[in-house]
Amino acid sequence: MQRELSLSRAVQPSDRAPDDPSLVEALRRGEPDAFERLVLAYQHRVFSIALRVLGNRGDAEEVAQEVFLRVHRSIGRFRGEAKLSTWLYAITSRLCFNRLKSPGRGARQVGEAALDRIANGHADPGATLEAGEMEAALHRAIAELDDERRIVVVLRDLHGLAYEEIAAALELPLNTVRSRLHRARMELKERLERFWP
Amino acid sequence: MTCHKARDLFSARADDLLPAEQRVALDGHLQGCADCSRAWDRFSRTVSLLHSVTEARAPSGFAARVIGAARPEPWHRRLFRGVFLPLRVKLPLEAAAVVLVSTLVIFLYRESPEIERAIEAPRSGVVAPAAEAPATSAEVEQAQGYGQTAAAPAPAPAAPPAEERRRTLEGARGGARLEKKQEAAPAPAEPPAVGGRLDAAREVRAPRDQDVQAPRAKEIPKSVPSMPEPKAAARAQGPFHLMGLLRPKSPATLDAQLDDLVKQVGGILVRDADRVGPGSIVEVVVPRDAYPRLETGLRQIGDFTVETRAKAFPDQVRIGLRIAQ
Repeated sequence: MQRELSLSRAVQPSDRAPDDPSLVEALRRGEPDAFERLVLAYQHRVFSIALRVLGNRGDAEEVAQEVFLRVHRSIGRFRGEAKLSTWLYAITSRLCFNRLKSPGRGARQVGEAALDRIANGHADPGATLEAGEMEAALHRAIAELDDERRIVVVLRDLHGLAYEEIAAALELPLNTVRSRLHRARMELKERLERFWP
Repeated sequence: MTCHKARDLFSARADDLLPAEQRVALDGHLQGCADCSRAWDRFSRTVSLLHSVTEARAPSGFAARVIGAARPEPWHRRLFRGVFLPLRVKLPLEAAAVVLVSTLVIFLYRESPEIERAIEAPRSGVVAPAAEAPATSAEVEQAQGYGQTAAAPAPAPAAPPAEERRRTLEGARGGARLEKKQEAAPAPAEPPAVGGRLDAAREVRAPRDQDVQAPRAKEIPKSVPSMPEPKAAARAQGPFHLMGLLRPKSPATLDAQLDDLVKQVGGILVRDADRVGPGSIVEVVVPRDAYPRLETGLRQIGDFTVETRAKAFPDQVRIGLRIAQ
């Protein structure tokens, strides 16, 4: 009962990640609530990246869970040269790529977020339909990007990572990140032409 | 600035990462090029749209599930998983291991008579051979009294005749050794029966006044011909009806003399070695009627002493003969 209360109290939305160095130290010391703090701080971001890359909520949840479990198992090997968040994104990206390459993976479900938003309702049904259609088209366009370009767009434009963070997470040269991002944006522009005046 | 070069700078311009000099140059090109201006407008709208996408939220209960999954499992679950899971791999392996061990046990059981006897002895009620443990003085006395020894192992039920004879002779030899060690123990004046097989401790422990010859006599077939066939004699089983000690006058010619004598009386001679000499124990089987001639001949060969003797001889008399110096 005490545990449930603790969890229910802890599972509150937290948009702001805790201070990485202190969290890393707490995780290394094996403090009981450190892992809980980590999950609560990064759960939405990790899940969101996985969802945008994989386009499927079930896959995204599995990958996000595996990301945290890997962190839990291997926190002792984290050297602390990069930020904890960068390490998390690196693990997330790698697991997403592995999932995308796994055999038997079915067609991606695209535009789930847009459909969710339509279902939740907007004040103006017309605006809702138009916004939903555009967002669905955007997600479809993102899903149709090459895997390597998609992950860069997701990290940069959907989650606001700096070029350097993306380069570190994906272990790519900075110029490669720049060129992939530019090509991805140009490709998306072409796919969304019909929505612009 | 060319249109191609201008469009390559769109991403850097959208992220505000363009140096001031390049930014001025790009803006100047966009003012003068309608196509690039329209392309930039659509590009910047696309990037703005991407930035407007809200972060997806993890499903309800996700954090609790992750935290629960990270908690260490109880030891008994880890043990169960370590032993049995994954079932498709470990069950066949464990079954194969059971079959392998069972086969090995059966093989060892069959190949090791000692194990077989150790298992069979309690089942059949036969006491384990006394050779494993020191015999008590009473047992030794009884063993001497009946011409038996506690050191003789119980024969396996399915032992071949040759093995049986070897054990018999070994047992007699063991009895001789025991006798030397227990010289102080008095020998009975007239034992009721002679036990040449020296096989089972049960027999060793039989009461002194019990006539063990009677049941043993049944073990010898009554329809044995007067001239024993070597094979039949070799197969003969049961106790010695007489145990004797022979001190030959001429050990060098003993083997030939014994051979001639046994042939003359119509018996057979079973040696425990290629050549009979001091320390040997031989088995002689003769018809009952021929025994007096055999005894006479033995006394001519050397100093012959009867140690134990059955009350009555059957048609075929089995004689154990210890050769001394």
